[in-house]
Amino acid sequence: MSVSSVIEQPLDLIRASLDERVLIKMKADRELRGTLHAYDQHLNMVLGNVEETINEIVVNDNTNEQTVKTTKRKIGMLFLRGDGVILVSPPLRTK
Amino acid sequence: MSQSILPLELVDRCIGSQMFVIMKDDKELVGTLRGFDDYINMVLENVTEYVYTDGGRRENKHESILLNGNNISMLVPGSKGPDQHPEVAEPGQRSGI
Repeated sequence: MSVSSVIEQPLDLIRASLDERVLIKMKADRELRGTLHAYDQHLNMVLGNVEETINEIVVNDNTNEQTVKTTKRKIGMLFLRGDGVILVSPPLRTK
Repeated sequence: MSQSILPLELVDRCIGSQMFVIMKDDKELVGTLRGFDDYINMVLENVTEYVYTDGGRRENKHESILLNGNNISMLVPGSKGPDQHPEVAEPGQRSGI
């Protein structure tokens, strides 16, 4: 099945990333890196080979110093609900 | 290239099997998916609910629930839950104030 390569509307940019590695920024300081297998008009997605990153800001009550605590976990295949998505992008090659 | 599958089709194929649901806030659930609707409200059975607080993780069990789809973030088909996807903590970076 060949995929059209004309980009006419914003969702076409996501279509161009099908079967590619993508970076998804989500609400609540979460990121997903995975292979985009499917999407729909709500930005619901099916992602494979996923690494989830949670960046939690921890405030030291005594010093008021802020530290970023990063946790990651791997998930084989998942469905992502579109209303939590902030942006979709091809991941940086340096990562 | 294989025929593409719509996201909601993936969920439909999982009816009857285990589903690991990750919510937008600090909560996760595992249960058997009995059904869902266009809003991804879900009927789950034999549910374990995991609540995350600063003090750790609490588990609650429910026989059958209707889960409001509004606060769902991700669905992981066929997973037994958070223990199947252990977290790896990375060294913190100071962004000091």
